[in-house]
Amino acid sequence: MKSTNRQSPAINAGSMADIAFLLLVFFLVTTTVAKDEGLNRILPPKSEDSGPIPQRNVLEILVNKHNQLLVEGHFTEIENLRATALEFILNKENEPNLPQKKIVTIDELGTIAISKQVISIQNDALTEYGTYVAIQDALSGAYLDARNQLAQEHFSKSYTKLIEEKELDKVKAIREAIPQRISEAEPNF
Amino acid sequence: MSTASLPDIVFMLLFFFMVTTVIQDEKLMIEIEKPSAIQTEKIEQKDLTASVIVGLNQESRIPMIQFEDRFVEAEKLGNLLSEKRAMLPENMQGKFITILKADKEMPMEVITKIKQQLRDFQLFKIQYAVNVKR
Repeated sequence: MKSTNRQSPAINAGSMADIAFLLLVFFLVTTTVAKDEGLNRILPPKSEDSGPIPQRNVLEILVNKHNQLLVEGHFTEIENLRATALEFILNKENEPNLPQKKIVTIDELGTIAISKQVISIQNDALTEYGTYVAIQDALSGAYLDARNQLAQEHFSKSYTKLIEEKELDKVKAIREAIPQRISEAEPNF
Repeated sequence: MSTASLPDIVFMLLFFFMVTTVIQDEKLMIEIEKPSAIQTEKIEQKDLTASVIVGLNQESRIPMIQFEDRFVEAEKLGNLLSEKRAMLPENMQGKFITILKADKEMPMEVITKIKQQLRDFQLFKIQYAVNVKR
């Protein structure tokens, strides 16, 4: 006699679990937990009067309310600021309009001439914060480039590499030779 | 009917919710879009930090400052942050960092006001929170 209740064919679901795991692994690998990152700075103390600094030692950056940059009196695009600042920090050719040099002796580096550079930022009350951060970022980049170059000359290794390899004495020497000096004018608004 | 695939479907749903959930330790009461930068640094010890959030109110376009879960005046920030720092052990207080999470379109006068306030209270270490540009 023929059976009336037809057996539905079994679907092989054995691979379902594999697919699910594959998906899980995929998302595990691709998701990144948002981490707090940013630009670290140390604000200057309230009463800081360093006295007059010679004009040539200061890279003056003025920002107006339309977020335009005036660097040493020239209109500059923010993309070019990093290169301009790098040239200023190093003053390789000892140009008379770029920072003075000072001969010092630093452990690990010996006797070298370092530049007496200071970078000054002055912004308008209505300058956008985004522009300010972009300037700070460009200047950080310029200092990093300058430090990388100095490290390459003395230790045949970039500054970033020195940090990675935890050669703290050398890192400290480089930082001492090229200190990050970004000053911000007291607000006049 | 075979029910062998049901657990898998349930697992898939679980995974879906797992990946879409965002763990957020602080509730933003204003929407901010952080500026982006390349030369960023991470902070290792999060317990030595406090966040100040600055953004525009959506309707009134007035700059608002959020600290923890309320809005505060810029003039009160110094006191609030100092209290926060005072809760840390003495040897750690010098490492206290204020994280400034501000919208990229904020006018600098607001930011400068906050920075002056921090300087008045000797809260010198600051981090400008950004999105990392790659």
